[in-house]
Formats: sequence, structure tokens, C-alpha cells
Amino acid sequence: MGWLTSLFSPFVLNPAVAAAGAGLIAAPILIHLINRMRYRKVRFAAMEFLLASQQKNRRRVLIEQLILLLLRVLIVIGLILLIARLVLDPSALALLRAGAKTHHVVLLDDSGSMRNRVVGSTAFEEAKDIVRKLISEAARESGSQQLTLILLSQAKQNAALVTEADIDDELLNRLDTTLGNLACTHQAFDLSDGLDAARQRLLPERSGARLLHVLSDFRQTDWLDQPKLLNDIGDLGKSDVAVNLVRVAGTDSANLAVTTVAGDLGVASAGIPVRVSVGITNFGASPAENVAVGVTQDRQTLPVAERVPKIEPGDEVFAEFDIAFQTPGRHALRFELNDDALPADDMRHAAVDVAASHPVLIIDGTAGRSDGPGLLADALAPVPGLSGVSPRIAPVDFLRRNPLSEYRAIYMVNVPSLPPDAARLLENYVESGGGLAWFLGDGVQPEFYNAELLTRREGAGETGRRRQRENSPSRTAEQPSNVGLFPVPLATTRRSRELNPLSQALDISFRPVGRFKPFAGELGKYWRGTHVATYLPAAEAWDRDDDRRADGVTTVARLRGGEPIALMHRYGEGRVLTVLTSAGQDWTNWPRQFIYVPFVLESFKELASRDSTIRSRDVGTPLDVRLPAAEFDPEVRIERPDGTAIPIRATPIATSASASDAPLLLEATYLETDEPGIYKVLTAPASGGALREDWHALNAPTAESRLRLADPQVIRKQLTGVANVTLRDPGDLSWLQVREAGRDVRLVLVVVLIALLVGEQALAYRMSYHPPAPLRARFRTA
Amino acid sequence: MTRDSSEFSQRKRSLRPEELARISRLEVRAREVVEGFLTGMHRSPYFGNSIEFLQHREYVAGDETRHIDWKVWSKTDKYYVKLFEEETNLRTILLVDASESMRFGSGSSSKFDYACSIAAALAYLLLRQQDSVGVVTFDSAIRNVVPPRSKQTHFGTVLATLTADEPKRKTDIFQILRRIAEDNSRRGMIVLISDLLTDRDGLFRGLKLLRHRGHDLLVFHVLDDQELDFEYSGTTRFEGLEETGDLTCDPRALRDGYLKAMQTYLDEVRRECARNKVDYQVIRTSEHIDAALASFLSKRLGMRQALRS
Repeated sequence: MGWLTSLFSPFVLNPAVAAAGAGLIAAPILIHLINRMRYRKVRFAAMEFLLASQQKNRRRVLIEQLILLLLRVLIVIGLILLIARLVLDPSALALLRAGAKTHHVVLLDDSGSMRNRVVGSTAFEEAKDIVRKLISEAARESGSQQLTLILLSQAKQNAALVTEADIDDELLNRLDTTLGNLACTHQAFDLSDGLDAARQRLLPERSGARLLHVLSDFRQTDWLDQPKLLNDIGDLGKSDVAVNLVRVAGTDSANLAVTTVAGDLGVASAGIPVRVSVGITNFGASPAENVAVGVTQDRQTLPVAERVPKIEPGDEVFAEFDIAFQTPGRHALRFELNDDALPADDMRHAAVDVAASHPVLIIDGTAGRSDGPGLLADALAPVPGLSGVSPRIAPVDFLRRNPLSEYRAIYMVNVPSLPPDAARLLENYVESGGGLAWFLGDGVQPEFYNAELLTRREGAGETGRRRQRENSPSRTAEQPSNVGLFPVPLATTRRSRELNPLSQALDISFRPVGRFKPFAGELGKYWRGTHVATYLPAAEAWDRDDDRRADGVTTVARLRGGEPIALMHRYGEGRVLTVLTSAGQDWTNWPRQFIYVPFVLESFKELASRDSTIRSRDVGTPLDVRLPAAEFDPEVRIERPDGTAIPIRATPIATSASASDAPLLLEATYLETDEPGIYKVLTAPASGGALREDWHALNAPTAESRLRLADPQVIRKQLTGVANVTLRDPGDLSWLQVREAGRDVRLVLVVVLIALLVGEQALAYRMSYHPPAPLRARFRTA
Repeated sequence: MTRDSSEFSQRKRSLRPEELARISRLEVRAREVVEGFLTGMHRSPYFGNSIEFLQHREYVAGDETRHIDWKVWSKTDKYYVKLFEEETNLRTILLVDASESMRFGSGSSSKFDYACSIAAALAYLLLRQQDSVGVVTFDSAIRNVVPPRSKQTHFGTVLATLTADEPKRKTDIFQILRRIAEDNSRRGMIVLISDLLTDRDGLFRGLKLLRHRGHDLLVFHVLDDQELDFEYSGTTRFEGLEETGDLTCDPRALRDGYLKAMQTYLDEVRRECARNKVDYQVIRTSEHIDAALASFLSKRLGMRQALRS
């Protein structure tokens, strides 16, 4: 009986009934056999005719009887299936079998890509409609129906919009309002988090039917080559959770997005035009032509619109803008395209802190004996106000006596050695984001450099490295560099080269590193005639191959013969440029060359701007505010992109006992940062006076711009062999009537049963005797 | 007559009183139907010994010399024989099938009972008209023979003979009919009352033989309702009478084929009888005997009138 029950189990709701009823299939056969055995006897005279009829009709009678028997057996089978409730769809069967309780968990993707416009609506609105229909259908079902609605944006916090609420009219009305007000975020989320949240809610349940409906646009970036995602779904399927993957977007949309804003905004000065490159990426499948890019500065549209003739699919094309800020202070920039399928990524915001001028400190190690500092200062600011840079030449002692943080960059020219405290202050300066440049000369003591500056001190630079890891997760795999402020061990003696001063051969060749990239390309030719006669080479033992060395030091330029002459490396949050020759004309002729000025200016921009790309944060990133309790009022005001101001209160950070002597800090976090734009954090000094402003530009994540949908066939192929998982096509809502399928089968079964009964009766009528009225007259005496 | 009535009441199995009453009403019509039903009422179509002279005919060798009219010889010196119109009673022999197949009956009475009733009715009718009636019962051989007599008291003998037999054996119709033909050289009416479930060839040859001997033949084909309609249902084991075999079947399934075979058989018998100028009548055992006789006699009347005209 058990095996019979398990045999029927995949097809009927009540396998025990079916198993018990299976015996009834034999009933018509038994009745037939019993009838054959139980007969009455008749002594009959006209056997001749009866035998003749039997002889003639034997085959027909046999076939008719078999058909009749078969029909009766089928009728019994039909009745059994009707009573045992045949259900063909396995998912519907699982749903029905669970009986009273059904738990629907809806995972609603509200990531930025769901703002994608589909016909007359957005993918998110379509998904909300499906949720409404699902609840509406479930409310009509008998038994306990429960709903948990998880938004993907809340999945990581394991929160849900609705938790195990009984589906009834009241919930329907409540959710109608809630869903109406629910807006799609601009952020990117990981679907795995959503599946984890759903799994935590579904797997502990052991009774009742469990259904997970994943409503998403199913993009390539989310679904292709995502083994974890497939594993998560597979786990759910294996745990008898019926998973409905519901696609709400059917076709790919063309989408252009402003993906990059790069340029010298970090070193922008009032009145000095800044070149900004705006990268526009075509995420569609066909080329985009004649793409207009506009710029808005402080809500004023600038008359500098550019047009990009053509962008091939997948390509990023840059439009160049020269933007000038008339006043120092904070400015908001917005680069925008015409609206397309996803408007959120058609603009990109940038907050720019424009200085009146950028102070630069030039440390003269030779107390005026070298012309290097002067030449550098001239190169940085040929005419006051022209470059926005204010150089100041000072002796080494200046480092010990004055705060360094106000300087955007420090140039160390021919410094023989540094006092220990000056070296520490310099380290702190660079670690916290300052730019440092080394130029050597005849006064330099290689022994000091090799002993004191070559290696990172114990504990130094840790804060910066940690911040660096936090800000750019992709770099976490990089080996922690142990390189100190000076990147390379120096040979103890300088090296002089025999050069022909009239030679136009290229003596210095640049590599495409950072802002020096143009010198490796179109500006490379201007280095002809520049010669380095003397330099302090790297120690012989030092490996010249950057890749092999892998210590984070990059060779920017090499001399003819391969010796490095300029190097870059990061130290904490700051950057260090090292030039192994002089800044003046002592060892080289390049200060006399035209290319010297661009090189110095670019080196300043490289050192002063923390990143060549304007650092932009994605929407959704919390705004953390830290304030010294003694200097600022705890009331912080956040001004949102739409102009509304939200007051928040900073609270003291709990400090450990060991750090009790540290100044008390206040901390506040603002989380509602979904809207792209400029967020202004306004803090009030405790002493009164003007509010301090801190501007943050938050933009839609580029990941959400990739709207290319995954091919359903590919998804299905990936899901091959995964049980209980079904991919639903857009617009296909038949799965909502999953119970209706059971009813349909019953209806079909009833119709078939009626047809069988009619057939059986017709055949039985044909095979039985029904005398027509005039029959008796046939043999009346003629 | 009183004696006859008492015999009828004793033989209810053969003839019920209401049937007798009906038969009495038939008498008027029967007179017109059966030639020579009552003496002197009709001219006999046969020449024979009687008191009424018909004509003379020249003597031919072989004629009986006692029929020579010597008066004519004395006057003409030629031999003439005198021919007389025969004035005789109708000699009717009732052949009643007493084979085993006649034992079948789906109702209260068997075909044999019904056949006996018909025979008794006809005997009564004929004896009332002072015709001579004989009865022969047979199966595979002749069982009982009652020679034709016209005495009223003969009816009792007829009934006794009919009731004496129980159907037992198979039918061998040809031998019976041949024997009847041999034993009854004098022409008369032979009424065969049977279900005719026998060798058809023998039946037809026997009928032909009797007709050849000049007998007027009537065949009452007695069949049960079930044999004609075959209204059996449910699994049934049919056990053949007269050793015709057994069959277990669903009779509903075989009904059409059976009826078709039966119809073919009846058509064949009817056609053969018509060909041999044999009056043929199928009679259901459920029908009243008088109705059967009336139908038969009216048909026979029509046929005679057609012949005379």
C-alpha cells in the first residue's frame, strides 16, 4: 500500500485515496467475470440460429465487450482521480498538498535598474502590480494565506515591508496604499542578500506550502555567471520552496549614462578654467548618435553644451568641458544627457571646493645655493593669479614650526636630511592626503635617505591605508606597501653622463602613468633636447621591474638606457613624486625647456588632487559626520538635493578607557541618501559664526545602468536540474492562478468522465436489447 | 355433445372452454372454407363411388368391370363405364410434432401444448362438420396413429392420443412424411403442426412428396415468442434441445444475428411452401388459437375463391 501511495503521490492530492481506489479498477473486470460465471440456464430449441449468430459475431462481440470493459475501467479510474484530486502541475500540487497554510514570500527588486521605463510605466510599477494581483488572487483562496514582502533594499537589514501577514481584504487595502507610495530606489543591491533574507524566513518553516516570488528585471549583470545566486536558489528549491522567478521587463532598453567626471576639479581655483572630462557610456545594444551633454553650475545651465557624434555599444566616450568658477567656495556641477529609459543615470553631480588659490610649499635644502626652488615657484605661478597656485619657498626648519595641512603640496628640493620631528610631521602630512615631491641635488645625503626615509616606520601610515581600503575595496587584494616617504634606495654616488648638448635624441621617456600620460603620448616630442647630465641612481640591488618588485612604486619616466628618473608611489592617502635629478639647472637642462612648466603644473595637480577622477559616492551611502564636541554644536543639519533640510543630532562616540584622554567626538549618520544630487552637511561652530558646510555628491551607481537583460533561455539552462524553480515570462500571469490549474484538471476530468459515461451507455445500449414498437409485428402471421 | 363437453373439461390442457366457445363461432366461416366440410353441401372435385351419376366414359383396359353400364352396351354394343360424383367426408390427418424441441415454451405452455390445442380445435371443427379426422403424433418415428373417423365420439380418441405423448426425441421429418404419404393413398387434407426445427431438406422433400400424392397440405409453424423475438438478457447458458449443443453467452449481443438467421429460415420455409402450394402459417404460442385459425381460414378462403373464379 505504501509503494502504491508513493506511486500516486506526484500526481494526486490524496494519494492514499488513489491507492485505495486503485483496487476498484478491478471491479468492472471482476463483475464481468462473475457475470460470466453466474448464468441462468435455458433449454432452448432454436439453437441452430443462435449458434449461427455466435459464429458470425464472435469477434465483434469480443471487441465490443472489451471496449465496454475498458470504458468501465476508465470510468472507475476517472472517478478515483476525481476523488483523489488529480493535479498535473507539480508546483500546484505542492501548494495544494500543504493544505491550510500557504506562505508567500515576495522579494521585490527595488534597485535602480527597476526604474527602467517599460511600456507606459516602469519595471518597478509593473512589479508592484504583480504583487497586488498576487495578493488579490491569494485572498480569494481558501485556507490560511500569509504574505511576507521583502524589498531588496531592506534585505541586508533583514527587514520586511510586511511580515507573515494574513492575506485578506484588509491587508489588500492597506498594501494598496503602501505600494502606491512605495518608490523605487536608485541604489544597487545584491540579489543574494534578498535570497538570504527570504531563506531565513522560509527555511525554518516546516509546515504548509512555501512560495518565493522573486520579482526582478533579471539583468545580465545580476544573473549570468553568478554561481552563488544559483546555489541559493537551488538550496531553496531543494528545501521544497516553490520559487517563482518573475521577469517584469521583457525587452532590452537603450540606455546612455554619464559614468565618469574626471578633471582638475580637485585643484580648481577661482577664475581659473578647469578642464573636465565627462564620460558617457552607451549601455544599449545599438550605437547612439549625436548625444548632447549639458552642464549646470549651481542650478544655472552653462552655455558649454557638447555633442558626441557617436557612441558604440559598450563604449565610453569623453566630452571635454572648460569650466571656470567665478568665486571661491563650494559649487555644484551637474552633467546631464537627455532623458532615456533610465533617467537617474542621465546626470552626474559633482561638488567642487574652489579655492582662491592653492598654497604650495617649496623647501629649499640648500639655503639659496640652487636655482631649483625658484624655478619651481616660477613654473607653478609664472604670474600671480594665472595658475591659481601660491608657492612659498622656505627652509627645512619651516616644516617643524608651521602647520603643513594648509599646503596642497610640498616640494622638497635638494634637502640633505631631515630632523626626525620634521620627518614625522611630513609623514603625517602625506599620510593624511598631502602631496609630496622630491627633487635631488648635490646636497642630498643618500645615506640619510636610505636609512630614515626608505622604510615605513612602525605604525606610520596605518590610518591612511585603512581608509584607502575602505574607500576602494578593489585594492584590498594589493600587498600592503612597506615603502616609506622615499621610494627607492639610492646609490651612494651620483652618476654623471656624457651627453651631447646639441643632440635632439629623446633622453627622457615617460610612461602613461596618471597625469603624466600626455607626456608619453602627444607631448612626448617636446622632451626632445631635454638631457639629464647627472642624477642619483637607484641602488644596484634595487629591482628596476615594477611588476616584479610589486611594492607599489611606479616608474613614471626613464632615462635612455632604462634607468628610472621619476617615480610615483602612494603613502597613506597622499602621493609622492620622486625625481632623481635636480629641480634646477645643476644636473639637467630641463628647466630651460618649454616642457618644464607643464610638467611641474601636472605634478602639482597629480599631488594635490587625491584622485584624478572626481570621487563620487553612490546613492545610499550613509553620510557620516564626526565633530569635535568642544568645537561644534551637536545639532547638524542635512540639506537634501531637493532643498529640504533635515536636522539630526550628533551623539558622543563611546570611547574606551585607554583613550579617555582623547578629545570627545560627536558622531551623526544620515541614511536617507537615495536621491542623487548634492547633500550639504551644515554644522554650527560652538563659538558661533558662520555654519561650516561639507558637500557630498551622490550619484546613481553605474552598475544599475547596465540594463541588458539576461536571456531567459540562458537562465533556464543555468537552472537545469534545479527543482521547484520556474522562470516566468513577462506578462505571463498564469502562475497567479496556480490553484485554478487544479480546478481546470477537475473540470477536464468531469468532462472526460461524462464523455466516458455517455460512451459506455451508448455502447451498452447498442449491445443490449430494446424492442422497437413494430418489432412484434415482424413475425406475426403474415 | 354432452360427452364431448365432459371430455373437453377433463382435457383442459388441450383445449380450454373459452377456446371451444370461440371455435364454435368459427364454424360458420369454416363451412365456406373447407371444401366438403359438410356432406352434400359442396360438390366434390374428386370422382368416386357415390349415388349421384355424373357421366359416361368409354371403357379402357384397367377399369373395374363392375362399373360397366350394361344397358348402354346392350343398346350400342359398346362398353361404357358410369362415373359417379364422389360424396365423401373430408379426410383430414393432423400431424402433430412431438419431438423434444416442441417441449420449449417461455410461457405457461409449451409449443407442444399449443400444437395439441390447434389439433384439438381443428379436430373439433372437422368432426362437427362430420368430416373424418385422424391424428398422427411423431418425433423421430411415428408415435401414435389415430385413423380418420367422422364419428362424433372420435374426438375423445383424438384428445386421448394427443395427451398421451410427451416430447422426447429428435425429429426425422422426411421419414415421417414419407410414411404418411405411403399409408394414406387416398387424397385428403394433411395438417402439419410443428416448429419445423428439423432438417430443412427433409422437410421440403416430404412436403413435396405429399403434394405429389395429391394431398392438400396445411402447415402450422408453431414458434414461441422467445424464439421469434429472442428477448433474453444477462449471461445465459442455452442448452439445446434435441442434442443441438450448448452455448453460454450474452444473448443481447447475439440477438441481431439470431433474428436475422431466424428470419432467413422463415423466409426460406415460406418460399418453399408457396412453391409447393402448401398453406403455411407461422403461429406464436402467445396468440389465441382462434385468432390463429381465423387468420388461417380467412386466408384459405381467399385462396379458394381465387381458384374457383
